Amino acid sequence: MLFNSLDFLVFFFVILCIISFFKFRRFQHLFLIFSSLFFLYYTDNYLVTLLIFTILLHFYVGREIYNSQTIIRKKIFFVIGLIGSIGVLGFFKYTDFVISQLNVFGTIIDLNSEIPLLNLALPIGISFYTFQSMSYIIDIYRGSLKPSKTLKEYAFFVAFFPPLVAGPILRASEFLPQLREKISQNEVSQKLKLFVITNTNLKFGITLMSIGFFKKMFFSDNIGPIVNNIFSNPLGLESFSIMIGTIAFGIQLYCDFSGYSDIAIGAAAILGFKIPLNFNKPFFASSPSDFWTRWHISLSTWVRDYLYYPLVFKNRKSEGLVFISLIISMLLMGIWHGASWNFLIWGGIHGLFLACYTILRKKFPTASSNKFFKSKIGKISSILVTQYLIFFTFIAFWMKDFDHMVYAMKKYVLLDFSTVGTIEIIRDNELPILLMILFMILHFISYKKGNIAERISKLKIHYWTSILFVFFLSIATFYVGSAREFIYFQF
Amino acid sequence: MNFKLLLSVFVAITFTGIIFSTSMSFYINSYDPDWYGLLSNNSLDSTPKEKIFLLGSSTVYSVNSTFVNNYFAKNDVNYEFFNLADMSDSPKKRIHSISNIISNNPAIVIYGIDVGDFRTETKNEISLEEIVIHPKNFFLYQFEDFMEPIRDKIPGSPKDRSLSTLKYFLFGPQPHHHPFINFYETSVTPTHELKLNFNDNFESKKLDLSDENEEIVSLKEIINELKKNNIKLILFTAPKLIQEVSDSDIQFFEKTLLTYSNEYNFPVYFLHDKYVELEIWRDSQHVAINNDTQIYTKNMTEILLKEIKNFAI
Repeated sequence: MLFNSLDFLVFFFVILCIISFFKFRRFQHLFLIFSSLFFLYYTDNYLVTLLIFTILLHFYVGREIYNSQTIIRKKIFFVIGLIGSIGVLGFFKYTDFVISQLNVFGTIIDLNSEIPLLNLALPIGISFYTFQSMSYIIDIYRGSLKPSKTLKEYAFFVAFFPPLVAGPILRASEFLPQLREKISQNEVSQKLKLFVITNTNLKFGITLMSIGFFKKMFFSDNIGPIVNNIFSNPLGLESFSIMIGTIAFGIQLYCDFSGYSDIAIGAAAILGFKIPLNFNKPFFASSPSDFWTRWHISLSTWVRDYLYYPLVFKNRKSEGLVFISLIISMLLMGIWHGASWNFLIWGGIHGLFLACYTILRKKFPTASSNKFFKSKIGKISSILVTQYLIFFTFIAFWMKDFDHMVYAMKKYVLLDFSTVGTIEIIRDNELPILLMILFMILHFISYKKGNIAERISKLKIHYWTSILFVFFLSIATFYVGSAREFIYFQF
Repeated sequence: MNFKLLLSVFVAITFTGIIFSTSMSFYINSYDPDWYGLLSNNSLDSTPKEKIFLLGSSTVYSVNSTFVNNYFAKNDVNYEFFNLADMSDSPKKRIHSISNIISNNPAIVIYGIDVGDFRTETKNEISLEEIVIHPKNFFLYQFEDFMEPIRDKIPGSPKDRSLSTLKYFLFGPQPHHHPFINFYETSVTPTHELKLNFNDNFESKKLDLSDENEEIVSLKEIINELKKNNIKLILFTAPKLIQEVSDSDIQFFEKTLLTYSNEYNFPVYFLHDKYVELEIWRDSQHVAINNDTQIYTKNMTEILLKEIKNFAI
C-alpha cells in the first residue's frame, strides 16, 4: 500500500476512527497489530508470512537469550536468531546476485553450464524489519534490553505499520517504553497503554504527513524526469549536465525518502509514538561523518552501533583498524540497499571518504579549531566540499551500468567546461530546474529556522489550515498523473 | 480526535478540490485548439493558409507537425498543420472542446482514435477468494463507481495542464504546433523487450461498440458537428505495438468504422497494426520521437496529400 495513494488515506482514516471510538485497551492493541499485518498483506500478499516468522523467531529467541543461565546457551540462541534473520534476508535479497556472480566466474573458467536464477520476489520492507529485529536480540544479548513480556507487545513493535516498509528502523529500547503505560515522568509499567489521539499529536502528525506528501509528490516526482533523462544514457553528455543530474538525483532521493519518513513519523505521532528523525538537513553537512549524522540516521546509527563499534572496540588507536572498519561498515551499508555492484561501490566510496576524513582528523586534531574553519567562509567551504563529494557518490547509487558510471564520474571530476548541451537540457527541463532551486531555498530556510513542522503545527488554526491548503493545492496541481512508488520500497 | 482540526483539514481539502477541478475543467472546456493559450486568440485568423487539425491522444503525439509543414511548404500545399494531441484524449473528452475547435475554422480535421478507448471493463461480481487473495482489487471494485466520474474530470497529467496555464499567464500566447510542454526526442525500446514486459490481461477488456457506450455516442456527435460545419474529416486508428483487445474485436471495430465511413461519408485509415514489425516504439503504446521513427509522420503526410487531392475533386 503506497502512502501516496487513496488506499492508504482511507486505511489510515478508518484506523483513526476505530481507535478513537473503541477505547478498549486490548482491542486497540490487537486491532493495530492486525491492521499492520493487513497493511503489508495488501502490498505483498503471502510474503507477510516472513514478517510473522521474523516476529515469532525473534520473540522466542530474545526470551531464551535473556533467560539463559549459561553463556554457551545464550550464544547458541543468539546465533540461531542471527542465522534466522540474516538467512531469510540473504536468501530473498542476495541469492540471485550470488548465483549471477558464480555464473560469471563459471564463464571465466570455461564451465559450460549455468546455475539458473531463482527470480525471487523481494519481500517489501524485509531489510527494515530484519534489522529492527536483529537490534532487538543484539541488545538483549548485550544485556542492555529486557525482552518484551508478551508476544503482543513485540509483534506491535516489529509490525507497526508506519515505518514497516521503508523505515525509520526502530529500536526496541526507544519504542517499547512508549508502548507501555506511564507511571510517572520517567517510569513506565509493564501494562500496554490505551491509545488516545490528542490534539497536539494530531495537529503535528497531519502537518508532518502533509510535508512528507509535499516532498514526495511535488518535488521528488517532478524532479525525477530530469534524472532519468540525464542518467539513463549519460554517454556523450557534458560535465555540467552530469552535475545537474547528480544534484537532481540527490534532491529527488532526499525528497522521496525523507518524504516517506515524514509520513511515517507523522502517522506514528498521531497514534502517540515519537519516532526519531531519519533526516536532518543533510545538504548542510560539513564533513562526511557529519553527513551520516543527517542522512538515513536510523540506518547509519544501526551500522555504527552494531557493526562499526564492535569492529573497532578492541583497538581504537589503530588507524589501520579504523580505516578497515569504516570501509567494511559502509560496504555493508551499500549492500543493504540492494544486491548489486553499484551499491557496493557507493558504500565503498562513502567508506573511503569517512576513513580518510577520520584519519585526517586524527593527524591534524587542531584543524577544526583553526580560525578559517570557524569563520563563515570556512564553514561554507566545508559544506560545499562535502556536498561535492556526497553528490559524486549519488552517481554510483543510480547507475547500474559500469561504463555509464565511469563516464559520469570522470565527467564529474574532470570538468570539460562545455555548456551547449547543458543549456539545452536546462531549456527542456524548466520545471525540474525551477523546483530544484525552490527546494534549495526551502531547505535553506528549514536549516535556519529549525523544526518547520513543529513551528507550523503550533500556528493558529486558520493559519495552519491555509498552509495545509497551499501544500494540498501544490500537490494536486503538480500531480504527475499516477502514484509513483517510493525509491526505498525496493530496498 | 479534535473535530475542529479535522474540519480544518476537510476545509483545506475542499478548497483544494474546488480550485483544482475548476481550473482543470476551465482548461478542458476553453483551451484554444491551436494551443495558443487558454483563451481564444485571434492571431490564427490572420494566417492565409487553410488549417488542418490533428486530434487524438498521446498515440498521435509523435506526428511531427514541423516535418509536415515543411513538406507542405516545399510542395506548395496551401495548408498549415497543427498537432492538437492531448494526453488521455478520447471522444468523450474531446467532445467538450469540439465547438472551440470548430470556431477556429479548420478545413480538415484528421482524428486518430484509439481502439482501446472503446473497451469496457466488465464489472464482474468479486468473489470471496479474490477478496482474500487480492484485497487491493476489492478496494478498486468498491470505489470504481465513485472514482470513475472523478477520473473523467482529471486529466492524465494535471501537472502538464497547470504548467500550460502558468506559462500562458506568465508569458502569454506562445505559437507552436505541439500542445504538450515540449516536443522531446525519445529513444526507441526494442520491441522484444516491450512484448516481454507487457502483461496481457484482456480477459475483462472487451470492446463495446453499441450506442450505449458514451465513447461511441461522443464520436458520432463529433462527426455530426464537423459535418454540420462543412469541415472535412479523416479518421484513422492510432498505431500501437500491442493492443489490449482480441483480434476478433479489432476486426469488428474495423467493420464498424467502415460502416460509419459509408454512413457519414468520410475516409478511414487503419494504422493500428501498421508498424508492429518496426523498431520505432518508445513503449507498447507510443511511437518514439526521433529521426529514425519518421515513418508515422511520413504516412500521415501522404494520407493528407491524398485526401487534399480527393477533397479538391
